[in-house]
Amino acid sequence: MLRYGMNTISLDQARAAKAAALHLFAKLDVVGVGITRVQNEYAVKVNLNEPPPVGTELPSTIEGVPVRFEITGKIHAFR
Amino acid sequence: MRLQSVRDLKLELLEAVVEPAMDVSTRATARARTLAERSLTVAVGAGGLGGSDLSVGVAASSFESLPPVSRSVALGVSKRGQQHQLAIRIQRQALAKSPLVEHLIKRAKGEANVRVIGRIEKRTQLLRTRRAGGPSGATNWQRGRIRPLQMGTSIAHVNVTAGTLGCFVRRGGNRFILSNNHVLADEDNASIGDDILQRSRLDGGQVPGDVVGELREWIKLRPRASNRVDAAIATIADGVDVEPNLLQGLVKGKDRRLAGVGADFLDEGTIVYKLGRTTGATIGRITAFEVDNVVIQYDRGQLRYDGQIEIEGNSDRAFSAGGDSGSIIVDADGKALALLFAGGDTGGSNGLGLTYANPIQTVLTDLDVELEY
Repeated sequence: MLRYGMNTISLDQARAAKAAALHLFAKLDVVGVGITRVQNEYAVKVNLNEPPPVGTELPSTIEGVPVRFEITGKIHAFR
Repeated sequence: MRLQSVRDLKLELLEAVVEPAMDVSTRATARARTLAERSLTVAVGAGGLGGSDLSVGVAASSFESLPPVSRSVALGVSKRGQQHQLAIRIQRQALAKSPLVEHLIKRAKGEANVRVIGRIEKRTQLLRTRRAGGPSGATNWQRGRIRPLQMGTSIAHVNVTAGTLGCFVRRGGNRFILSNNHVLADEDNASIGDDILQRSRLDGGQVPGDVVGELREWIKLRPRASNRVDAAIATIADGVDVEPNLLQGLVKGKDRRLAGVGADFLDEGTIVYKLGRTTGATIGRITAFEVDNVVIQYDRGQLRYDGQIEIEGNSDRAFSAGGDSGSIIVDADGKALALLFAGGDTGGSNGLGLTYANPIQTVLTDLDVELEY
């Protein structure tokens, strides 16, 4: 996969933003908060069980780190 | 419709219309009703994105809780905007135009959402296999009785439906089978020494003919704290041979050999492979790492995991489905990266669901074993 551009966000910054995201979105139905990449930059990925209530404002960055939301639905043990 | 109106209508139709039409046994009906209630819980509020959606949450269930007779029509509640609708889930496209379904839509005054979902109890597996482009209804070789034992084949505790034999591990001079707790130890419900079957019961495995070992140890699941791994090991019975490092047909039908433990740090974008009981050999890509607060639905309730790997299937295939639990995930060099244990139905850029896995280093450390390769 082609990777280009500078890494201006360090892994530690992304980890700190991830920790902040857990608190920030405590009221949403969060089913996972991890680290991903957006255009080769480290970013925070927030997985939601369902779409947030209408009118909920979601930030595009946390502490300068991009954040992406995804509605993943319920996750099951895959027996 | 108001939520309560849909619920009332659902129950009324279920008893007055669907069940008589389906001619299911009393036992199946009771179980199907439990399933319908479960799906109701999932469905409420799950809609919104892309119109409406309904997850019928029955991916992980103990053998006893599977309905013995599958229904052809299931009813639930779905949501469209702020309005609730009657969710009609059918198992064959042909049923969409049937008098029964047309009657149901009419009774809901058109406020209905009809979708074909495949057979309920094995929905994930069948749906995924088809979506994955595999031959519809075909049985993978992984579901058969395979000797010597090898990675990627059907295995499970005697009370568990089906899972996958991940790989072999060692402690001292002893060799063990590695898979998930929920595959080998039935979510902590099993006892040391219980029979482990290859193939699993869902695939026709029986006692004593298919017993290949005994449950030895597992990492207990923690309901009130964060979990790191869903892992267990089983002994291998005398006289059962093992092919310890073969990943049969892993990449484009070509065999690979397990080549040790991979990197500690698993970056987004890493291409990964797995061999599993349900979807066979698949290729995927890590979409997130160090994923915390992953909430996973088990038979015993919801459990939370930290430090997990998230994967999506490449192109138009899901990376995994029910029954693939326990699969070892490797990189392009055949190095072990993670132990597959859970997944969803709708996430990922291809909409076919995300897969979750425990980093293999954590699994090996927590079980105090070494990978065999």
